[in-house]
Amino acid sequence: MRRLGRALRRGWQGWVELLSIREPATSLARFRIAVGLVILYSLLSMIAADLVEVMWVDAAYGGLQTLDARHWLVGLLGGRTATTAWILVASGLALAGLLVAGLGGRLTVLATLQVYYGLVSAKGTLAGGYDTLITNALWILFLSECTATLSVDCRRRTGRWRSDRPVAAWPRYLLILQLVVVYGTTGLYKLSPVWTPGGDHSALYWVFQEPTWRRFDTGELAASWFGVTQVATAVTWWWEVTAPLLLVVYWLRHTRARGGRLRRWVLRYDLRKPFAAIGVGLHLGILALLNVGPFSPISLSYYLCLIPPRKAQTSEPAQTSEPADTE
Amino acid sequence: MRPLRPPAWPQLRAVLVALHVASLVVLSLPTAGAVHDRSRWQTANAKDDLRTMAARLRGWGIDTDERRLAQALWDAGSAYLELRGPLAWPFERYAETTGCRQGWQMFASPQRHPAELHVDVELDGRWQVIYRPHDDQAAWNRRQFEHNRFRKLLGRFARGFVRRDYDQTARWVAAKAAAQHPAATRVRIRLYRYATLPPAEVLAGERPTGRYEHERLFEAEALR
Repeated sequence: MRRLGRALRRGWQGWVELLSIREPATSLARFRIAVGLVILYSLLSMIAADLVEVMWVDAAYGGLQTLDARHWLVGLLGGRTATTAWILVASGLALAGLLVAGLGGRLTVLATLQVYYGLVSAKGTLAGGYDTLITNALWILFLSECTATLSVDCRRRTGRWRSDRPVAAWPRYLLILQLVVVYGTTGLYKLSPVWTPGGDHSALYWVFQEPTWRRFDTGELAASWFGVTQVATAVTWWWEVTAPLLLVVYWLRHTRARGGRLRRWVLRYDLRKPFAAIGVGLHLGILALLNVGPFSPISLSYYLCLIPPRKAQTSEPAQTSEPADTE
Repeated sequence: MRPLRPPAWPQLRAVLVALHVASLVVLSLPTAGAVHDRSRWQTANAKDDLRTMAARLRGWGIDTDERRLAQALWDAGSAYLELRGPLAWPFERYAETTGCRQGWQMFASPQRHPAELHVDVELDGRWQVIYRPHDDQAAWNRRQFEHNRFRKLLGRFARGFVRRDYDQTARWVAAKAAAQHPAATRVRIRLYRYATLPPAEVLAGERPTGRYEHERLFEAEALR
């Protein structure tokens, strides 16, 4: 019992120390810029398709569907009317622009989150997983100091566009965790015999035959290359269900100094690279062949968090307050 | 300027981040909508999956069939949801407020019985198709229908048909078709359902044949 207590205390201390790590904000800043660009694309594509007053306006006001108006901002603006939709879209575009520029710090990020969430919470069947990835990204960016570098905020504060001022690294860790959870759980959902071992691995063949998603007629292409789609199905499924092992790799790297045979063996290779290579390949394939909106761009944005900032990490003492800003 | 933070901040932060991590993991576990949606269990896709799984289990020496396997999975789902419910509820409000919702059911069971939206207008007593997916000869309103959000909505009618959503969509599409085809007397909205062909049949040049379902007819004048 005492040993368990000691182990728990040690584990908690390790957790506190992990969350006390600070690093330059470069990765978070790149991610912030990418998320801003994806939001711009998401909103502009709705304008280009003339869908703002179709999908984000309630059927009672001429829209396509009966919508949920519970979001506080929508209520404040008078419900799901065309005026509300255009105010939110215009604000979303302006705020996404500020997010890319890095002006306004956390306030801009929070406002962007509220506006985008106000739009896409209209109805579940009109939203996609990419909307959730965007709102999740904005919440973590709000908790981070993502405008510490590569931003107008940085320029105003220091006179330069770049700064090496260290910021908390845990928001970047949470974004990596989010990526792992997305793949891990989507792998667990894929219990259909067309995905799982023992079946014919035909899942991607059926996906490419589906008129809903395919970008162009991939029917014959997928049939001609059926063997390749089978290999790609197997690789996708195994890669997704084993994605949580990436966290083990990160842990082993973080505790490299402890040594041990398994740790040394795993760390002979940088397994983060094949993980990222397969993921990037998968999303580029989706981007080329399927029309799933900003799903691939927002997913690939998360990959920017896998690239650690270029300066060495520094750590604050766990039990004390954080060090003063260096600038 | 140095932020004002209490000495216990690292501990407090560790607690808050741990709660976020717990929320992320718990809420990403399959929901009742994914596990216990009766309409999804009735789809041709789900029945195909159950048939194949039952055959595979019999091949491994387990005595089961499609019906018994469905019941066993349903019961396991009930037990799982009883556990998930109390685990998830503390985090649901947090996720709803912050937008940090989870749920990543992407291509879990690829559609093998798709349903395409077809739109026809009646001109001089004859039906003329004006929209079919991926058909350049029937490409009316393609810009909107082929936006990913519209595709997603239409694709869901094949997966778990919700009558109210379909009826609202059909009426909106019909109203637009009526307005843009002033000579039309009626507008017809239908779903064309077919079974996707396996590779050998596609390569042999065969085309899938299906049937129409969920037909909605509208008098064009009443919609203008």
